[in-house]
Amino acid sequence: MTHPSHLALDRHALGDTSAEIARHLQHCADCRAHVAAVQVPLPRPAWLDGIDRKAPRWRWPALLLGTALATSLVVAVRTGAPSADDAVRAKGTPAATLWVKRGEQVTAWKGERLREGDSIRLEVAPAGFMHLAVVEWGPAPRVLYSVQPDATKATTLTPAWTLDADGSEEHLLLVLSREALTDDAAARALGRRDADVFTIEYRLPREHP
Amino acid sequence: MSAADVDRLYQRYFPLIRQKCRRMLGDLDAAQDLAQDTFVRLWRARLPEHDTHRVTGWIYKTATRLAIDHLRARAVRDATPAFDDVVDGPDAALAARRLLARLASDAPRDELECAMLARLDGLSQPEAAELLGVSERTVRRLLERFDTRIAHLRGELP
Repeated sequence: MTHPSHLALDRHALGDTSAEIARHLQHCADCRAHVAAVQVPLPRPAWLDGIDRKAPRWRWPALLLGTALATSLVVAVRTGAPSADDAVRAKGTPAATLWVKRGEQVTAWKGERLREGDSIRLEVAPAGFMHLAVVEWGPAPRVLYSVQPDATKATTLTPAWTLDADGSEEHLLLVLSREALTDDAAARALGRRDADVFTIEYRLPREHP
Repeated sequence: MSAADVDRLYQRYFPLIRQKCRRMLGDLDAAQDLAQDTFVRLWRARLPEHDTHRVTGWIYKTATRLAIDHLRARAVRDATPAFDDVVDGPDAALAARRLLARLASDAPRDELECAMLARLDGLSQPEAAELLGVSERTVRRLLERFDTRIAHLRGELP
């Protein structure tokens, strides 16, 4: 038996149909099940409330990351800095992956130098922490973004940042916490990894022409 | 546009978006994220809600492209994608998903789009051609190339 496509069945479920599909459905339980599955009423999810502020997951809006703040060209790996163990995982300690979009290519950051025009995006597994702030680190740290992520699974943060031409390094701090932190408290959290606050640090070296 | 408009659009289209994303990815969490992303874009696109033909076509095209982005990103992170949370679908659909995941980083985007629509969603060549805005001949050519790529992957061709 040749079945209609899923697209044709979805359209049928929404009232855009043909006599041929209606005839097929009379005799095909599989296709009737497909139609029934897309007609099930769904409970309203909380994320609909913020839909006008929510950026699509793989959209890379051009938010310019501010002037770079540190001077080292070397990726600093110190307490709190990401390592292979910081790759996103759903359970255990919090973890993060930094995605880099260069042209049409999206890759996980592995320490390579970034350049002007690259966009970066964070995927975070909070492992039970309820609040997340992304801090641009420097002499005057500032919170770029804060959110209450789903504490139970990895989530790609909605904003992406496009690197401008300035500086030799970007220095970001991810601050996960049990309770909501003020911007000042988040900016003082560097290095903390305890039951209440967990930080992951990124130093992103720049490529120079 | 009001909250009631969002709710109505959600009830009308999200179930099919979710089902399509599950077919493409298998992984329930990833499929849910992709479905949300597709819906946010649909909301922002402000398409005429009752033009079902146009809206569903837009959904299929957009969700397919987002799924390819996802599979490519995952291919970078994990050269052997896991399918631990495989949901509905017969073995053939699972096999098709595995192949698409393996080919995601190598095959051209238009080939992947065409293969997803034809092999996972079961679109006929005329349907795929209309959705992608290409000729049926182009659809045939893309699918032939995709099949050749799979045959190479399986070692059936030199």
